[in-house]
Amino acid sequence: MVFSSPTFLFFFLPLALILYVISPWKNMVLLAASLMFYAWGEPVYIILMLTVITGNYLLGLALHGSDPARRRRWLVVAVAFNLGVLFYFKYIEFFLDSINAVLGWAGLGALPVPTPQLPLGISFFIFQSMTYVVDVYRGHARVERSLTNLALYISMFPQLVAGPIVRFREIAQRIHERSVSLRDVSVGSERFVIGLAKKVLIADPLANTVDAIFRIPGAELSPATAWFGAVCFGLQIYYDFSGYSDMGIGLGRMFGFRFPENFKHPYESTTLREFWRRWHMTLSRWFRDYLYIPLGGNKGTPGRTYLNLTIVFLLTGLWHGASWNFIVWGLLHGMFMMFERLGLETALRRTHVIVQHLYLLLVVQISWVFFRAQDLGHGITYLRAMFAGTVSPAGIYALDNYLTNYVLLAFAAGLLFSSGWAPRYCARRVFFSCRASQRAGRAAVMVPALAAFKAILFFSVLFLCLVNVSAESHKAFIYFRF
Amino acid sequence: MNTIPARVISVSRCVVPALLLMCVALPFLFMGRPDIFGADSGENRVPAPLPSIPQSLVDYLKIPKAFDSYVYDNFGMRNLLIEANARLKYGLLGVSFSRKVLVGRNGWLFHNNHRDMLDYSGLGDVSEQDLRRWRIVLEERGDWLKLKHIVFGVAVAPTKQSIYAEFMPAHLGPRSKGSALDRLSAHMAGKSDVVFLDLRSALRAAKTNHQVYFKTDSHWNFHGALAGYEHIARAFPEIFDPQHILDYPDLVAAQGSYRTNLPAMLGMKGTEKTTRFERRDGWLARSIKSDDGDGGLKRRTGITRISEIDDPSLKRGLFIVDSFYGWNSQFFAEHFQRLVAVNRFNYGWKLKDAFPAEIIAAEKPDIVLMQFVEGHLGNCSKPECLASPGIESNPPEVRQARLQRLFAESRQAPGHLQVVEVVRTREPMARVRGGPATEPAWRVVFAGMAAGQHRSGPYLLRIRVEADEELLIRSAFSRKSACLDRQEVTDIQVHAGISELLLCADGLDHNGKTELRVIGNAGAVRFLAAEAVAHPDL
Repeated sequence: MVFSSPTFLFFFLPLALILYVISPWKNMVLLAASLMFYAWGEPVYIILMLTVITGNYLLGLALHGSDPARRRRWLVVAVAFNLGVLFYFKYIEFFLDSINAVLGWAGLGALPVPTPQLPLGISFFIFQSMTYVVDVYRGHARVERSLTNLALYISMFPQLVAGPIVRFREIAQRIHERSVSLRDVSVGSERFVIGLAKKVLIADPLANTVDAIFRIPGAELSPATAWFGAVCFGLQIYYDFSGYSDMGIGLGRMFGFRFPENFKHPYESTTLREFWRRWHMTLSRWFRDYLYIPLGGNKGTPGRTYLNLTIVFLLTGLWHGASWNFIVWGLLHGMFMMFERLGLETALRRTHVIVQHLYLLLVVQISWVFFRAQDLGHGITYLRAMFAGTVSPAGIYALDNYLTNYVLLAFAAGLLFSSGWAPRYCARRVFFSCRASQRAGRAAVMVPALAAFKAILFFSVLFLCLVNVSAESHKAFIYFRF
Repeated sequence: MNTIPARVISVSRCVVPALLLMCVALPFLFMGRPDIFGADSGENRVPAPLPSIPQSLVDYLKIPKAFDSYVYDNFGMRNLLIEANARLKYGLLGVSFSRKVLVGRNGWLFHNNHRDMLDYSGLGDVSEQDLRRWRIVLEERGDWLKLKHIVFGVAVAPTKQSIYAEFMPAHLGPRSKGSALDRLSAHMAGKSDVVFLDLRSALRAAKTNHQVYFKTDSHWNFHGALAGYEHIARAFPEIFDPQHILDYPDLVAAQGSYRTNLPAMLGMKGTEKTTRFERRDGWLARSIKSDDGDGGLKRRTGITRISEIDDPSLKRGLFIVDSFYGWNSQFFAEHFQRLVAVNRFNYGWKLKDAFPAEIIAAEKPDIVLMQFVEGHLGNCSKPECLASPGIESNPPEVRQARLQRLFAESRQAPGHLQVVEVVRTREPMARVRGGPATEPAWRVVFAGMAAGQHRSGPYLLRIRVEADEELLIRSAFSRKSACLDRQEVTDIQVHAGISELLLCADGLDHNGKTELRVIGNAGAVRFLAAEAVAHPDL
């Protein structure tokens, strides 16, 4: 169940909110809702989720109650347990396929390859579980003695399937005791609606176009169409992911939690280093704190630092998916991070800020092609079409076919809001207007007027979102289906 | 400076939560009432029911999907929201939110079938093999019907974009190469004696006087249907008395409105004014209620319409049709004492494009006519296509009819070979396709092959066998089989008793040998005779 589906919006969310408000057992209601949310998408793997919860609960207790030598051993067990689950369900097929390719090349027989179905949100809940046990080991977090509370932390539905990746210590206190103010509900609702709009009004229309363009056979793909598809994908993934994070953060706030921010206008960056401080910030933070720094970070020799960076970005690529194109995507980012450290960043700083932005957008855009491509070969074919294509096809593969008013509108909105300029400008205007009206003694009029304006704005956006979500359920047939 | 009352701030903070709650709670509270504040969504399907309480683990696993379907189809105010979406996108932005509808110029809508659009854009990939497959399927039907003294014809109605290309988005055309219909028409004209009618010329001629397709429906209108009917009827003077072919003077036009299908696919209600025709002196044919009302007969057989006239001097007809027939059925019905229409193109009936030999045998018509829209051609992998790959469109007896004609045509030609020896062996000459290597086989040795007569191409074998039980005889064993490549018969079911069968064999070796395999009990069949011929169409 995704947040932008009719089932979530018109059934799950109102039911969860009503039960949460009326029930005295808030955590139990939220946990039940979270488990139901997960079971909806994974009716079988809910058992895996419960196993991960129980395993980490017991390992946390073991870590806490042991002497230092044993604690280290328990930590190894805990990390191995979590990574083992992740490896088996997400990577075993890719790993053994790659081994078999080598064995085949060497003329040896192939190993049997299990093909487990990828459980929903496994990368997120495993990473959250690991932060818990590692933080307990490091003494950064207190052990959780209530299974319900730990289960709620690992499975909490607002951030279960797409983040942000929350550390236990960030919400432990609020799991134990929290109150929800009107301001929380208000801010949470607004954030949810903004996230929904990002997903439904910008990402989804672009996604249809991206899907269609990335399906075009390489021989029919013109450079203009390929570039349009790639830029659309850059916008789609940003609005999809950040929209989902916004919805998660908003829902969390409505239930009294404050999740960390996950995106901060990443396309405004001028270097890749800055980009990763603004893109999927909770993942970058996770890799920094639980991998890069333990590996030595940038404290060692430059060679060691570059090796650490390569490892981190290789694993970042793999975290997004088990295939070679994700590895190439991660390594491309790692490579440019190294170039920046080797002097590219200094050189860029001497250029105009537009050149810096163009550099960042070009690198990110090219790497997105590998992220979106079906496989490595497709990614290379697509890039070839972008840079060396000569095709100018007519018919359904022509660029005109994709430039509908709706897509152009979503594209324009995507470009406009990908920078923080527009929201900042609006906020500044509102702030100065309020201050001016307060000075003029008209604050009591200004606030309701702004509230009315906000109501109209949010209602319009929400209405547009809901009609789009409803349209998803429309499945008309030319002839009657029996 | 004045201060803002706390109540004002509290109220202003309630606005967005209240809106959000209202927007999600109303569809929740009115669950099961999708039509509240909105009419029927025109989706042509039954909404998903509320799933029952799971009784088993399997049921439990199906619950989320079933409940999702229920919510998707039944949340409160659904139809209103869907229509609002359509009005906003189509009305305001001029775009279609449905991939199935293409917005054209001047308010024209087109059915956006990906395959049709590829074909229209000249990007379709119809191979020579596709053309041959279509021709063979039609020829088999024609030859089988000829044996029964039944006239056979095929008429292809153009898609709307073929006739009204000027209302299609400019970037989609014009065609850079021929469409599937162009190529099939040329192929049939050069290689087949099946009467194959391309109705485009008739529709283009009619277009100069009348609008022949609906603006917002995927079908032709009554003007277009009349033009199609006339063209077909004039092609079969032995069936349609030229004196009685209906034309405008025989008809009275009346204005009516018709609920068109493409706006419904967009989630809107759409009607279009159209001209309906009545026969000046009243229709002769009457529709016969052929079903028990629940669509059972239609589902089982594909029979969609039966009409009759109480005049035994008239002919009998059986038409294999698609939805375009709905508009010209009344015109055709005026010529037959009994006219049965079978629709097996539509996937909804799940019968694929199966030739209704059993209905033809029962109806004993004077003519079998296929009338279908161009969209059933094309680079097609779906079952609703003509001769969809991987689907046996014709039953074995129909498949044999064309081979019988080919055999008869070639029998007197040089290269006719008689069998001299049949060797039963358990060591096949080639690897077996779909069976164990020890599968029983016959080596059939033909005489009469002079030096230099060896031919690598396929041969047509006629074999006579006696079987005690049902089994299968196979003549092609490799993926590179020329017979399989050319869509010829290579597997044939043998029934108990003596049978004479025709099938394609890939070629004879230098010694005049070929191989046949028995799938089943090889001991239950005896080989009586065999002949081999070569034919240029194999």
